[in-house]
Amino acid sequence: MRAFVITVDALVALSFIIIAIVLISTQTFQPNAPRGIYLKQLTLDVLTVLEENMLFSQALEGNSSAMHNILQHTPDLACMQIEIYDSSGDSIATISKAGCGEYGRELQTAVKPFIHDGGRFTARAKAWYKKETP
Amino acid sequence: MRGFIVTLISISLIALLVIYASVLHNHYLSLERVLTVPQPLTYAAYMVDGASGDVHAIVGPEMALQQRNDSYWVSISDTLPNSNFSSKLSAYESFLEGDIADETNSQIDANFSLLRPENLTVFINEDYVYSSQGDTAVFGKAGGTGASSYDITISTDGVRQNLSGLVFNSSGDMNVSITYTDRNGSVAMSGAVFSDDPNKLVADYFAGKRLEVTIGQVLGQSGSLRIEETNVSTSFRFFATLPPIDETKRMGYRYDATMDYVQGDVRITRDLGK
Repeated sequence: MRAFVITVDALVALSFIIIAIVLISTQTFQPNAPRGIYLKQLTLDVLTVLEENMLFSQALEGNSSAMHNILQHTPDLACMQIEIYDSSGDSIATISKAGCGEYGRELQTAVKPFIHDGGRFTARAKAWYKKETP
Repeated sequence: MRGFIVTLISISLIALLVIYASVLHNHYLSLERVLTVPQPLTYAAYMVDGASGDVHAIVGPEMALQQRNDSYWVSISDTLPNSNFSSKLSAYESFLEGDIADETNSQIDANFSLLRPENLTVFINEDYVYSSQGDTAVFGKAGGTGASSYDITISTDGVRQNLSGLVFNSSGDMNVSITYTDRNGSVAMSGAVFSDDPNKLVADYFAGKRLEVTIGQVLGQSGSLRIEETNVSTSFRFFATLPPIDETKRMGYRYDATMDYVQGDVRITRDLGK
């Protein structure tokens, strides 16, 4: 009887250890970096697409609908705002993705210099994740 | 004594679990480092690529490169004399080294001194060279381009006095098609020529103006193209069909200009191009 109790005790103890190991191993570690990297990469890609398709130039000429369209086609959770500055540092245009609230926990920025009509301009992009509504 | 052993075993098991959890956590942290460490390098490459595009927009020429199954296509559009881009390029260099470096918290050293309107060289696929030297543009390759055809559209603002066209030979190894336009109108010609002969099209205009197009042997390089104007504004586009590119060579173009970008521990020095 005593041996049986000891065996049951050992099995219970072993089962606790196994459960603890399984719990530790299955913990999903969610590092922040990939979320930030993804957002940064998205920002750089959007700036490149906008420049390669001359959409910054279009925006400077007063037509920012194509630029809006690109921003609206970024993933739902990503928010973005792009400001264009001239070489003296004055803001010329601001284009924001619609439906985005204030900055979330993650904020990424990127800069892209570009040439339009012989002039030098800078596009500054800010990107953040949309705050999830409870 | 028995209680002590049970306590010891319990502590050992708990320590084992803590060590296991810690190893797992460190593993994930190192994974995160693997993802984050190259990020500044990615950003540096992005900045240099962006500058390459801007420099191309300032100095030209307009280019399209395309690899096909059995050939490689190069298309270049340009003007002679070359537009004077010096002041724009110089301003852009200052812009990069000043405003953009400040904005990105980096140090940028751009060297565009060899990009001059009177001497602009573009290296294509590490093999072909296109150079524009004021009144002359040359496309060639050391050892010959191996071009199988050229399709050229060229126009000038001269009033023609005389036009001496290409002499075609049906047994030639390179097909040429030219559409030539000046104030007198357009002339189209096509046929085959030998790629190791200096085949010429010459247009003489009033007031000593002149245009000379050489297709074939140019500066000892067969299958090349040379366009030279004398006091006549010329714009042209040529489309060359070349042998497939060597797989070991990088596809793209580069200028004789470098950019050095330093941000923190990251340093990238590259020839500008794409």
